[in-house]
Amino acid sequence: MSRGGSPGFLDPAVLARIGDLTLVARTVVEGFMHGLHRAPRLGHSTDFAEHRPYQPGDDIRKIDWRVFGRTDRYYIKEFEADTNASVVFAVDVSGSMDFGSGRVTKWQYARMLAAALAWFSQHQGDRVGLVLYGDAIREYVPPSTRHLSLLLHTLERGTPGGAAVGAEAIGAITELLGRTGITVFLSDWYVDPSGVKEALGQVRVRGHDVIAFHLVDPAERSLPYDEAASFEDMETGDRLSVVPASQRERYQSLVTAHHAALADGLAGSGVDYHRIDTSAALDLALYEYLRQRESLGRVR
Amino acid sequence: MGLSLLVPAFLIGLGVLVVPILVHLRQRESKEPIRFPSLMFLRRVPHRTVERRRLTHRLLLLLRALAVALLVAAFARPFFQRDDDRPLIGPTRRAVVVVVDRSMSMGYRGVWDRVRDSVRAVVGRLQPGDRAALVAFDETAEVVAPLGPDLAALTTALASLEPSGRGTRLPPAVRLANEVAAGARGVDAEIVLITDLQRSAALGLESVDRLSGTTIRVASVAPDDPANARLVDAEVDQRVEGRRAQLAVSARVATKADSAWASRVSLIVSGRELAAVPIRLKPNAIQTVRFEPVWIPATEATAVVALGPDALPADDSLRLTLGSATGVTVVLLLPPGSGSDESLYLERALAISRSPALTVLTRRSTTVATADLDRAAAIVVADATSLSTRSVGSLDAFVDRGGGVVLFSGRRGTTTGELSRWLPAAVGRVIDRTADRGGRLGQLDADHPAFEPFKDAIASDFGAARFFRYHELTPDSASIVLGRFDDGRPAIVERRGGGGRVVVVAAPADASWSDLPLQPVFLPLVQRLVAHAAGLVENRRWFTVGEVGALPPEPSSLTIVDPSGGKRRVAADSSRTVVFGEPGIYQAMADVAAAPVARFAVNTAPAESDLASIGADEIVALIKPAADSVSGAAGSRLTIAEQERAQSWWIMLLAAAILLLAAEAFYAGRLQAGGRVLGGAR
Repeated sequence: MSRGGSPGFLDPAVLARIGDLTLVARTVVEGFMHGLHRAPRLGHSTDFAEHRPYQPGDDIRKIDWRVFGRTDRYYIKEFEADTNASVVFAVDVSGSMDFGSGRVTKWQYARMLAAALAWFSQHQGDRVGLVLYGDAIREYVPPSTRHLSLLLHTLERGTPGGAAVGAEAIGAITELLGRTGITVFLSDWYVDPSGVKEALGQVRVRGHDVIAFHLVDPAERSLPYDEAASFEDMETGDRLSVVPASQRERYQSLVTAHHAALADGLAGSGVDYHRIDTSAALDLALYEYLRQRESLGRVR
Repeated sequence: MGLSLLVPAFLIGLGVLVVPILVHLRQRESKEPIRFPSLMFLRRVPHRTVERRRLTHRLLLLLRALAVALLVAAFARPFFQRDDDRPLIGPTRRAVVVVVDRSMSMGYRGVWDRVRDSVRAVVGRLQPGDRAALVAFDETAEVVAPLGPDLAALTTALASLEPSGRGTRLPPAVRLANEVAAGARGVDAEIVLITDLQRSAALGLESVDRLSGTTIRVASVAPDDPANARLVDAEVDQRVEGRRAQLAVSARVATKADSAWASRVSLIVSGRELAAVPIRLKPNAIQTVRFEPVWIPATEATAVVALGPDALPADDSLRLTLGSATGVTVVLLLPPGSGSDESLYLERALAISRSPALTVLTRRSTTVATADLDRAAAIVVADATSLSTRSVGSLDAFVDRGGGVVLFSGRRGTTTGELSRWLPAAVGRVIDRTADRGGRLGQLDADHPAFEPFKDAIASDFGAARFFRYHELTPDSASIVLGRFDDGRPAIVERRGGGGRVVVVAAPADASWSDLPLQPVFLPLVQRLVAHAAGLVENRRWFTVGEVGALPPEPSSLTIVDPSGGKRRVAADSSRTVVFGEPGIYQAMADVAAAPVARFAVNTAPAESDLASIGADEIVALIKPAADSVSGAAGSRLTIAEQERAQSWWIMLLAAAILLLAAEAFYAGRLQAGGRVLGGAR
């Protein structure tokens, strides 16, 4: 699979100028899929997948009688999934998401990405839902095949602010996720990696496949400031005098270590972790989602 | 060609250079905080002060520092001094102006030797090529040896100096020294002030500026523990009887010493000691000494009161003039038929006058006889309203000749007609103050010569007198009101006419309308008014050095002989005054062979006997550096136009500073635009 698409349409700065989030999502998905030259309804199929031995409790209507006639054994005929999954997008709306050194803040990037992914999932036949959360759950749109508009509208209304994401908030999200499905987290993950690992591990235990997008602004990684200044924490309002020139190197190493800890910890918990640079086009995120969604498309 | 600064004080502004350096060291924090997603990692980064102080943006710092330095240099007004402003010949390194105090107090025992030693020490430190000048001063200053390399001439000039009898004033000495130092033309100049540091000499020194580029050093030659006795003043009572006169003198002696002092005071006339009195004074005390009356020839004109010599002999003698106020005749004019109550107080007051001693001729008439006018120095009229109008003409002529007329208003009515016009003030209606228990003399001109003896007692003595009635005086425009009652009406009015004076008093000189004749102040007041009207007050017994004496109007041409024998001709059309420059007897005579027509006894200034000293540091501190002088250019003689041309550098420096500031603004703007990442939402 090649990573195609039109970079012009997927440039976050360009997309951010489009006020209608629905249009953004549609533009992103269609542009992206056009580049892939693939059918948009991946996973929704009646194609044969495999045979497996019958087990008590299986629906006898799914027994392949032709195989029984040839082998005198009961085999169940499995197809590509023809039932929709529940995809819930959990988007971080804490204060830190309002940061952006370029033309797009992390919140704007996350919103466009969530909208595009929801659009995409809806057209896959999935049920889509939304959770906006910070230190607690702020908005919740239950997964449904009819909730795309509500989801996009909720995204449009959302404004970042308040304290940082905590494990408690993720725990609360876990409680909301009833049926098994896919949960997509979009956050900047300014939290303790071990706490995130544990919290997302709980989601996995509930039978959910978890995709964690880590949105990172370039300035967050490089600390590109020259003058000494007072830095204000966007989540707590705390201030700290900082001399970037003297602290930059150490800061960068700490950030790198944090990112590595997140990647290692979440991968160990079965979470599909992707770090996204908010200056980059959205196709990378879409591609990662598509790949993941494809692998999860089979229902056994 | 050397670089100098017009306003070097602006170089202090170079201290501002610290500001950009500190700014660049401090890494100035922007006022608005940068909003950042999380301080989670920044808090873990150790903050090292050493790194904060690393200089940042060195090019920007260089631009800013250069701009500041150029601005400071521009304001300091640099200019190039031409070589021809510097000494033309010789390797002159230094110019020294030696200023020597030669006032009377420098005659204190041993002080003048110290002066010579100090001058020799200064000269001895000079190097070949140095130049020196000698300035001597007392009340005035003069250049004794001009600035030059001949140091032997300075030593010779010093040998000719000796203490004078004059006082000390430092301001003219420092001014003259500045002028001499200015002639040093660009080399470092030093003014060495050799003085006994008399405190009174420093009066007004704060108004003197020190020439820029010169240093002032004070060498004290003050005695270590000065003790001095001096004659403060003397009172003379002289009665002429035929060809001889009885002379009674009392003198006051003061000491400034920490221990008791014993000596003798003598009265000397014509070089002979006629009387002597031993004296023993307590520390820092004043004592009066009275000599027994002595008989002297009536022609003796001067006397000396002498004190036993002490460490400062110049103030141990007091010279006096005698006899000029003796034999004064006064006519007392009483109204015809007046009783003794009306004349008693005036007659007694005039009869007992000693200074001047008066011969009183009492007349009861409305006119003054011509014979009386010829012999009298003053006319006292007890009742001005009784005076005949016919007397006006003769009295007017009498005043023109220098005679004095004192009139009391009397109690008989008012003046009218010609008499009113002639008097300094018309005598009008009677003011009755019995209702308010009598009026008082509310104001007297304390500075008027007639009231000089009452200066310290005017308020108390005259205030005690009550005036129940008095006349309303209406002064004419040429008159002067010498005193007023407490209701503002004139009490004493004077008018000068010709060489004499006319004085009118608003109350009678008896006890009918006021109790003034019963007050102690009455006798001296009457005597003083008469002496003043007759022109006798100005005949002072002695003057002090530096004062000015008035010469008599006749003869028109005079020769002044000073105490050291010097003669000076005073022409008829010149100022009829003489300035007393040294202590001793000055004589004014028609010609050298003739008898003197006036004598003036001159003594040393009392302030010069006060040896209280001021600190040398105080003297230096009092002399302020000139604010507008040119640094490093003592004696520079550039014209204003030349200076303007030489100082045009500041414009170029200012322009360069502006260009640098523009470059700095451009560069700083670029740094800010390219190097700053804003936090938070766009």
